[in-house]
Amino acid sequence: MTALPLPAPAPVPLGSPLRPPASAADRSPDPAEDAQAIVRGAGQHVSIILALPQGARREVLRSLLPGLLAQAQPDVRVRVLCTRHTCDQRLLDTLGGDGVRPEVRMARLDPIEAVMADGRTALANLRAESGPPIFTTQEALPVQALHTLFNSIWKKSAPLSARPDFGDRRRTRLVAEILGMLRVGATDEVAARALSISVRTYRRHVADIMERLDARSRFEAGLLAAELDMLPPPVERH
Amino acid sequence: MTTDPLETGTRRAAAIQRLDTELLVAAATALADQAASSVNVTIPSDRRGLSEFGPALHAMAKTVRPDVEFRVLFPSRAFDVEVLRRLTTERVNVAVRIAESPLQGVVMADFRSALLWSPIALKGGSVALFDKSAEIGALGSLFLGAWGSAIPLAEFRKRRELVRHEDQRQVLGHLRDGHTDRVAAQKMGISYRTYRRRVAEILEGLGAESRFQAGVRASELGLLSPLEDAQ
Repeated sequence: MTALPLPAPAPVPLGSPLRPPASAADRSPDPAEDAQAIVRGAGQHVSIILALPQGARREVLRSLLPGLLAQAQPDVRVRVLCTRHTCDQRLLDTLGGDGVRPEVRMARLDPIEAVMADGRTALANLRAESGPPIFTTQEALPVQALHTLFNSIWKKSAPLSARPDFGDRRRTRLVAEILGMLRVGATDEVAARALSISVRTYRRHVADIMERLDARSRFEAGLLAAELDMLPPPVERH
Repeated sequence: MTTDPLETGTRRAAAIQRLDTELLVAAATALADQAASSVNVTIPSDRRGLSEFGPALHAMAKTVRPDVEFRVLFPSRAFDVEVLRRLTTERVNVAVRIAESPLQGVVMADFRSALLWSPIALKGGSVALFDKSAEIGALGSLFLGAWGSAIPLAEFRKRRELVRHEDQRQVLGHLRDGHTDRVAAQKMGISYRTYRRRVAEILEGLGAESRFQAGVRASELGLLSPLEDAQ
């Protein structure tokens, strides 16, 4: 990278040529090796983001994940940020395997695949048509910027383990409907009628949801359901 | 002639800082002026960062075309009433959100090119410009992710208003902990009716019709985040 030298003799000339794409010069022939080396070299933390939509042609890091996790030193903190799409059984199987158990959180993200570790970053090339599958960089500014944004998202995302599993699909759908009713502030009577169940049954379901969320009150159930991103999409806020 | 090294040092630091700010303003406005649809900014967290980044922010707010989206992500620890007041008077089409984590100085035009800035002297300089590249794609994606999980300025102000008083925070705590209204009132040393009125006031302040809804709103406003401990 050609960072602007400071102090500079004059302000940046307008329209000065911007930087070309991340250099391909420091890339080794094997992209997997690049990403693995980054994880292997990490002494403190490894942050992985997997957020490509389903069926993306250039999914790179996700398929490399088992190999990447295997490279992490035992005392390194590994965090994985995934999306609704990327967090499937395949991912959970990988994460639940032998070796390091990473912390996993789920967030809403635009397409990105990245591995960040101690000042080095590997990024999947999202443009399917051209270029190498992975870029790496250790330039301080972008690495820092990506790292702070990662932390910002991480802090506001829900740990995967905290989200309760309601078992079969029919029940999961009923729970979603009840949460939707609670979300719009419906009274128990109105909600029960809308779902064609008795008020007593409705309340039993709500109590069960609260228990699984480990919530002590309906207020806390609302708090947790929102934190865990279990609610139907809210009305657009600005 | 002898010069006081301390004084010389101070003068030099000031000169470099002035140059820094000028350079930053010129680079940031040049970049932002190229934007066709959006300018996206993150404000550095530390005080020095804001004092150096502020002039660039205000310059961009004035020069960027009014129809271009202008998004500013502000870390809560750098929350500055005066800067925000100025920003919103300088520009109508500006969206401000508050993030709870530290951030670095970034300006992105249309998610195609970016200026990255750090107050910390980095090897090779502290301002860098990037064109369309893998880094920009990643920065754009993470910016939008952080933006989506940040709190809109109006909500942030509301939240500060809502938890300004100790007894309001106490009521929120009792609601969360599942104490019955009678128990909570007793613990706070107020009457049952007064407690119920406090709860009603909080629900109204949150725009909630039920206690569950109040919990959801409290989460959205970041009033009582159970995840914070997990961090």
